[in-house]
Amino acid sequence: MNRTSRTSRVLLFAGVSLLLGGCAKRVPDATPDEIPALQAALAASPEDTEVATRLGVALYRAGDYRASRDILSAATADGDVSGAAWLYLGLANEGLEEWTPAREAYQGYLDRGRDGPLLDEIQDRLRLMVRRELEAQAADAVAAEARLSNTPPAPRSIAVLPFQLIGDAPELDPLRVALADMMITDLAVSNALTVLERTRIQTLLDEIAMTEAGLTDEATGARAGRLLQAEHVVQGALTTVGSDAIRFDGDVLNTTRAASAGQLENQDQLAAIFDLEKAAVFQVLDVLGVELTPAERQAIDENRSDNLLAFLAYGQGLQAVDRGDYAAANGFFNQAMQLDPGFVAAQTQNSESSSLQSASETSSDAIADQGASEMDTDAVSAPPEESFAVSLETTLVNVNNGVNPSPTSGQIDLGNTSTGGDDSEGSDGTTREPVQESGGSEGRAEPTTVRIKITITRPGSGGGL
Amino acid sequence: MRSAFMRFLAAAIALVAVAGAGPVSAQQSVAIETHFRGLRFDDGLGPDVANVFLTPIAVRADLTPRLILDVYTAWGRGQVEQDDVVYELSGLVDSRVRMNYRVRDWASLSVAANLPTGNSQHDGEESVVASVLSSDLLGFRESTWGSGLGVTTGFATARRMGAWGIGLGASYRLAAEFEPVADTAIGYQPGNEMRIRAGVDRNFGESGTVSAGVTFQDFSDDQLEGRNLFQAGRRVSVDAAVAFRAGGSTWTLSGLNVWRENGDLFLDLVDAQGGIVGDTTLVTAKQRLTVTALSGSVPLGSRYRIRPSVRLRVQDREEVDGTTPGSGWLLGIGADLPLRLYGNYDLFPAVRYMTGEVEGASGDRYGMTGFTGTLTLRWRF
Repeated sequence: MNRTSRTSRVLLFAGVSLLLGGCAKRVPDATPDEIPALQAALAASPEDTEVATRLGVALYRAGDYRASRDILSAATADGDVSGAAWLYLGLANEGLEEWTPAREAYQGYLDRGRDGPLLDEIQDRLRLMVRRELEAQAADAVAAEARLSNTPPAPRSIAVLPFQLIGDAPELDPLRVALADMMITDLAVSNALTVLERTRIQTLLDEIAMTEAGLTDEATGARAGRLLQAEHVVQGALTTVGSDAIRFDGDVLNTTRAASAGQLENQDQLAAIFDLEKAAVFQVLDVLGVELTPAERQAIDENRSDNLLAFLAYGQGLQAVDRGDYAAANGFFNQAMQLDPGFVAAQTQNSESSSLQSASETSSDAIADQGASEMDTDAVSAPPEESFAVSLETTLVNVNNGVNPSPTSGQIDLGNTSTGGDDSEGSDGTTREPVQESGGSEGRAEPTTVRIKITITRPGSGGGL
Repeated sequence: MRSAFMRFLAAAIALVAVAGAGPVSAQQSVAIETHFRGLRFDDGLGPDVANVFLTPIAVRADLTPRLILDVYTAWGRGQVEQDDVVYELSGLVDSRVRMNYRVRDWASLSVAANLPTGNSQHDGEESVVASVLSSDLLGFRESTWGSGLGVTTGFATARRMGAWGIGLGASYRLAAEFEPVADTAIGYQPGNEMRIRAGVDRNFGESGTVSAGVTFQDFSDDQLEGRNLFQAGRRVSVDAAVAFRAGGSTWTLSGLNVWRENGDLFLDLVDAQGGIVGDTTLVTAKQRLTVTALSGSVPLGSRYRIRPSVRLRVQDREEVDGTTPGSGWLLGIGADLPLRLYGNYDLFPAVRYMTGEVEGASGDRYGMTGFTGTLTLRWRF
């Protein structure tokens, strides 16, 4: 495929995106000063979702989260509303610390929003909302402990608590969480069990302030299991043996009976820590009567790092995540990835903690400020040509340089076009010149001229790209 | 009988002692079992009833993470009832010791010994039992009780090539001479055996695995008193299996086909005084055994599972004259139920009902029904 053809396809994609984006609703901006007028307008026309959205935004900006949430909830329930309605509904719910509705609203925004950077921000924020949800659920569970004690757990569900470390080797402390995390991943390979996520478990343990010693205590484990609604809980202790061996003693605890369903015992060289963990996983599955297929057994066996130091760094990263120190977590996960480039779990956690770091460093106010891009400050519908020019500029600069410069790194001349001797006229009557990057770009790649043929169809003209 | 039982007990104690000598880090298990398999045949076949009762003991010890020891022995009693006469073969069976060393993650070496602890010297009645129980169609776990000392060495290697796992293995069994007939000193030297196997497997979907393999077996001549007596036919077996998950259950569908070529029986021609005047060769039957099975593991509640299985054995056997005695089929339907008793003690009760038919020497087919019951107690430490 030659460059011109490829460029045309890129432009085609950009154009289609533009048309789809142009279909999204946009509403005029609103300020707190407009609240009385908007309330009156909404009273006169209760079905007008645009007015409702503007009122909700104005109320949010005035700090009245509850009123904003109520107005926007009603507006979004009606269906066809702008991305701004969903965005500010998420923000209002976040202000009220209603994490689940906030998450749901942000998900709604992702379906309808059209501001690229803001969409990325909200994608990251969703993960933060999940964290907040888990914290709220853990608090609710503790508050409702008496009721939960009498509620039967989910059948065939299991939680793995972080392990206790016994011995004088503090450098191995990250193994407590890293091995538990690996066991959770391994147990989840088989669909025969419902395995609780590590984050949910840790959040609950934080809520009940379980000490490390409590991690191997049956009564404490049973309590955690009941709060998590897990039928079984895996508890265990890692004990260093000499300088190069480690022992794992564990228990599969039935939370309803508060009694052991089976014990786990293994000892191996520290260098064979993953063999030790795999043996424990197979023992847990055996205790719970789970038979694996060969493929599942292989998947479990292959889930390991080639490098113990990478695994320790991974564990430090998880501990940093649990402390809410996402920047440090990123550093540890990056370190783990450098030590073992094939360490998939570290890659996954790195992505997760990056999102959490980004989200935690971005305040609701900052999101709200960016949310103005979802509102039109001038008119109900922005001129499509203007948006198209911006998209085209970005796309072409990328194509020409083969790198990823900012849109302002060069200027695109959308003047008259010559398409290889076949000059033509767009349907809007505008003749285009060859698209060319201009302006000083010392140190950059040599600009390349791309000849393209552009046909722009205005919305409502019935044409297309 | 008492002597045999005492030898069994001594062997069992020795096995446990071996297991206990392993390092703390090792995983050991001891399993003791009672096993019964019995078949009743329709009138006219010859034997009316055949059954085997076994009490095996098996030990597995991970001596090091790379070195695994397996030991097996059993006391057994086989009975065949024919024309209201019960023939019996009982005593300790041969013991098997196997060491497997994982040289690399992709290669292992093994040495196995068949220790002649079993009753290998059969009188006429015991020979009747051994000959009935040795039918591949009937599937008894023990038939001869003893076959002399044998040592098998082997290696296996497996590599992953893309989505495929490829395995190769070979072994060679050296057999020592033993005296098969009671009250005589006739020496019988079983032929050595070479076995080569190649297999492949591949995962599919989220949890499925398909595997297949082919095994080739060749034998040198059996010798009686230093003279060639029997050339067993070569065997080629092909097997395949598909394992997959369906909800909380796992299932395995498998098939095995074993072809055995004709064998040659070399017999001396003797005169009235017993002097050898020549020899002759008789061709023994060729045979194909097909086993198709579906077995599963289905959760029962939160801790238990039941493992149902259906197994069909079909045997086609053809003598050189075209007759097909011994051919037939046997369908088994059953299940086992692993139970955790306490701590690391597990109990595995299993039952299986069997029905089928087998062709007699007359060419007629005779029905058979039977039952297998097994109770295994395993202790892991």
